[in-house]
Amino acid sequence: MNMAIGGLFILLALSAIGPVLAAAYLAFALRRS
Amino acid sequence: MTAPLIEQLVVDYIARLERAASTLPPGDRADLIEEIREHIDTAKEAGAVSDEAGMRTLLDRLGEPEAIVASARDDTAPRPDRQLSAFVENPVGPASPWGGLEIATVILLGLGAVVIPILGPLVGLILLWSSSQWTRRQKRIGTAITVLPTLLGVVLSVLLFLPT
Repeated sequence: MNMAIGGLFILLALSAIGPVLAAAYLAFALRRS
Repeated sequence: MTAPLIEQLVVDYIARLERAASTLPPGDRADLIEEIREHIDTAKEAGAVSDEAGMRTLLDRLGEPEAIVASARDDTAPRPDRQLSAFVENPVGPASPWGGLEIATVILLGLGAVVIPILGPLVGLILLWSSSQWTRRQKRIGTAITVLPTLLGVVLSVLLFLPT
């Protein structure tokens, strides 16, 4: 059970990091244009 | 002696194209210039342009930069979705690249990932690809940054925590 929760936690954390980084990159790209 | 001259012809041509394209939205402008550059590079790599006369012929065939921009503008203008989004984004005329669509994209990707996992970023990506303010390259990079960590998470979860 603990293993499943650990896996879910990693999955959620990594799936949240990507879009946040992408938003920062896109905002920066638009500011430079 | 010929190679620098050929290069100079290309530089002058691209400079004229950039000047003429300054009225296009940044995304369309960058895409158009990238496309013309690729076309010239492809012709050079294929050996179709070996001297100054060959390059002049190629550039003549491409047409006047002003005509290319006018044609690109005609291609984009009649699309109702573009007209509507341009109006919603900038009712008083072109100024900032930040329109409603771009703000919604960044918010959905940034906050959406935390508040509405999966669905928020998914809608954000759809809005990203609907916007004309980012170049195709920036859209591809943005999509990759969004998707790759999630895939990494799936792989890690399966490898580390799946009961064997």
